[in-house]
Amino acid sequence: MDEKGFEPQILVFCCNWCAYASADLSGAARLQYPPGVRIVRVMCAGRVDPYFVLRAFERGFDGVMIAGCHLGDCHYLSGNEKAEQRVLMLKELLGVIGIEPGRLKIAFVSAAEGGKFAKEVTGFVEEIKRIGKNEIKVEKPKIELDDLDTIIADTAVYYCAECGKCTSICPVSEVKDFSPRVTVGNAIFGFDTDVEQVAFDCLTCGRCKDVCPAVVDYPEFTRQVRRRMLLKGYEARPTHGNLFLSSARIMAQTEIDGRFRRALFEGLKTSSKGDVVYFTGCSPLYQFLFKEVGCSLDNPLERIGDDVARIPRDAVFLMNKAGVAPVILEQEKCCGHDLYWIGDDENFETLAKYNASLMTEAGAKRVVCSCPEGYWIFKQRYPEVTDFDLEVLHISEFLKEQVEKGTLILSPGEKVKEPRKKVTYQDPCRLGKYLGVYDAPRFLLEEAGFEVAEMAHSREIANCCGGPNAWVGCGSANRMMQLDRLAEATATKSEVLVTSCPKCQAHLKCGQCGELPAGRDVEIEIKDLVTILAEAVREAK
Amino acid sequence: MVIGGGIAGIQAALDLGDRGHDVYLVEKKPSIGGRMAQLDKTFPTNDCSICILAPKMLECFDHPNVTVITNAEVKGLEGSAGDFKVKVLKKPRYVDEDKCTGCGDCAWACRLKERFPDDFNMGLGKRSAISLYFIQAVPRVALIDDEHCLMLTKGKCGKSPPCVDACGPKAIDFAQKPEEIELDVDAIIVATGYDLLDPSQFKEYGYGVYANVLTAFEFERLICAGGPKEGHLVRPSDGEVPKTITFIQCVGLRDRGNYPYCCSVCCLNSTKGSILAKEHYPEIETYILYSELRAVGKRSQEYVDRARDEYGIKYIRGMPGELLEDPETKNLIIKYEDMDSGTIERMEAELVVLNTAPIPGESSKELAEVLGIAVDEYGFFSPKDPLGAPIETEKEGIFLSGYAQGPKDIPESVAQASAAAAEASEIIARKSSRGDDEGEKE
Repeated sequence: MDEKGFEPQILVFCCNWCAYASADLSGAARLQYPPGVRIVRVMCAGRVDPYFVLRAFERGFDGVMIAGCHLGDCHYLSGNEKAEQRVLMLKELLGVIGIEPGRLKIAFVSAAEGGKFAKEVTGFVEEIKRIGKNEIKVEKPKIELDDLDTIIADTAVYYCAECGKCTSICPVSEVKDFSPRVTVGNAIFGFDTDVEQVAFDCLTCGRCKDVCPAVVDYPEFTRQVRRRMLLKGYEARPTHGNLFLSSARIMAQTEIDGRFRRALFEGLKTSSKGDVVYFTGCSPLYQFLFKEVGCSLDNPLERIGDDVARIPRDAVFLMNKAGVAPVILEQEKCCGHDLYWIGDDENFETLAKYNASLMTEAGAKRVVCSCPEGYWIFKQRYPEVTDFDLEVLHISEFLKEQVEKGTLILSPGEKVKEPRKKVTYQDPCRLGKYLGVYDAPRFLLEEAGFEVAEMAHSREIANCCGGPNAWVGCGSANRMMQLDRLAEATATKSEVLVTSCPKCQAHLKCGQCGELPAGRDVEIEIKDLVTILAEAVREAK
Repeated sequence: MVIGGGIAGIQAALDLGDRGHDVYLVEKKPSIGGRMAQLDKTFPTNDCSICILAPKMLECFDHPNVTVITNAEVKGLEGSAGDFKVKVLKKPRYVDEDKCTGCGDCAWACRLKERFPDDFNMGLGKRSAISLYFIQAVPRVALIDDEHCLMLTKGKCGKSPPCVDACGPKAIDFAQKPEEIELDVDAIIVATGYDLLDPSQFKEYGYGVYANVLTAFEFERLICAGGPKEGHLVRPSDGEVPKTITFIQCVGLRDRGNYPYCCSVCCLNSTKGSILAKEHYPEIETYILYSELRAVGKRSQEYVDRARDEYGIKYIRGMPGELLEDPETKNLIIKYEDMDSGTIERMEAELVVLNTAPIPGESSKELAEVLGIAVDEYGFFSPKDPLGAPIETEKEGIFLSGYAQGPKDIPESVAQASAAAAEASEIIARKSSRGDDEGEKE
């Protein structure tokens, strides 16, 4: 792939103490290294957020190098060790999202090793020349900006009668200074800045929309405001180092290596062509993401990643039990839900078209997913931008159908002597409020012998888990919402809080971590629906 | 002919009858009286509703020129103004209207005594499979419920049906069949009134889930001395008198997803309800949660002012987004944004009353088709011209009155009924001036 005249663009993050000094020294010593290298000085290699790396690839850099002190020499004790862990994690993630892991490198150089710096950089450039050019396109499409009036008209905001129903039940208004009613008023009066300031506060849970007599679609209003901000060049306030959004954008342009998903379902029955597709979604990526958040092996957050990452395996296990070997799309990309919700319509459409044709090519008639966000976006948005017309089922609907047909048996039978646990169920917003699936998950839990206790807010009036929508704008308010939701769950005296959304699980578990305000009861096991069902089936076997 | 025996229909029939025209008054329900018969009091004077209505109902029934046909529906129409032929389907009562005295002995004797929800009392009371529709029913004739009566559903009721044994005048007749009547009339007045929206679709209010959430009409029957609790205002969950009552306005109304119009009565209806509650039990606290207060009409704003200033009723601008039930006390915790302060508030109420939307009658579209007249996007009958001819329809000889034409209160309905009667007489007058009056009914 060594093109003629290809001069790789390399971004090097140098720590202030060792690597930057060594680069300086190599310059002072007149040592030569290739001209495409750009150096950014950071205080410590540990400061290099994974997002910096992904962003560099998004911006078209061919390679990224992080250079820090030698292990054991870090001026902040362990910054370089953290950087090393991150690089390992990132290399795995890059492999999944279609970027050659060799494009990322970590080097340890001391302040005295000017020669080593030049050598490392030169070697890296040679390696990148071998790998070839990063094909990600940098230009953004130029689009005419909608003014706020178009958005207002499009989402019925003009009809607001200021009754206050929305704000009275908004879970965000409960914990911070935020009011859908006031925002809608500001939009009508043309106070763009005020509207934009709170655009990432809304979690798009849809409670306001459900009760609004004026039928204002506030979540969609929020989405369109975000889109407008994106087009103006405002970056979404990212959480988790923006790993997910960045990965999704990268995936829109790269080619996916199927090995990751093939390995994921090892030992389970899957097929490459057939009627039923199981869409894995991004939950397996959580294992990388939460390694990043914790950055230490004994952090409970890391278990969150593993618990969420197992959801697809548990789902396929249950499908196998029902005699179904679903088609796995080894080269599937992000479903695009989160990009859609930050207003990135272009990348969303690219992903949608790709996934839709992948599913159609597999000869599928139905697609099953265990993530409510994928479920919603396939059902509601894919048909709008592609010729996708498959039947979309949430895993709970699919399993309910199998139980009713008699092909799946969940009941514990005689082998399990002890009565099953009392559980409570968190309705995910996309599954419940957006698409009205309330009964199927409860049916399955009861079928498996669990007693389902309801929280004070459940079904149509269920409250949000507190997770930030589309990985933007997480803060103390989110934590308060998580704690409120956990308090409702523990008040039911249930042993397990079951949900059927990877994000609900991750965010509620996050609420259990760290220091808690006094008097908060958060002690409850949290599990995904398919995990608790798979465990029940294994136990009864 | 007048279709619908509520206050508008009764008024129109009486006006025409007094003018010397023969009138048929066709009512779907077993008794005339309509919604007004279900009200305890009327605003803004707090007069007893049935006390005003019952004399009119009787006057109508006894009027030499008025023929009241109850339990009947209009099924067909032919001809034109001055010469309509109307097909009316009279459903069987299974009780001979001429023999029954309305003593009520049958209801006491019924094997299924007080088993079924009483629709006149909004399901709060129970009725037997044979009963009077309500105590002041006109005509005062019992009716057998063909969905539940054992003789009608199973063909057998013990050795012999106890109602037959108990009935002195031997009025019960299980062999009655639906009867199709054809009537010749000159003009038709449509006064079919309104239905009520089922509020259980609004999950945030928990109607049907929480015991102590009632509709305004249920509240009306509850507080009415003639109602199932004889006027004792007690909550369904524990039979205790509530200490706080909260009225919620505009349920399904001014709602673009349901009925965007203003019903024009519920602000005053809640004001009335609050005053009644205070008059029954002065220690009760009453709140009205509203989005906009619309006290239109004569003496209406004064009524609201009196409620606020003299009775201490609290009006709060801010609609609640959710109600939660306290599992122990069954009280309701209401969350709303107080629009005066912009703060989110919680209020605990022992009883909640939902002012549900009065909506165009369920069968009004069907009736419109039969009559060949138009309905608007909601199902209210459309007048020929909303300004210049609000009670005429596109079809000559058919007139509108009351709530079936659009939202209005009782005095407006009565006035419109009289106007419709005047228009109808005009058709007859025109016909007799041409000299072809054959003494047809109107």
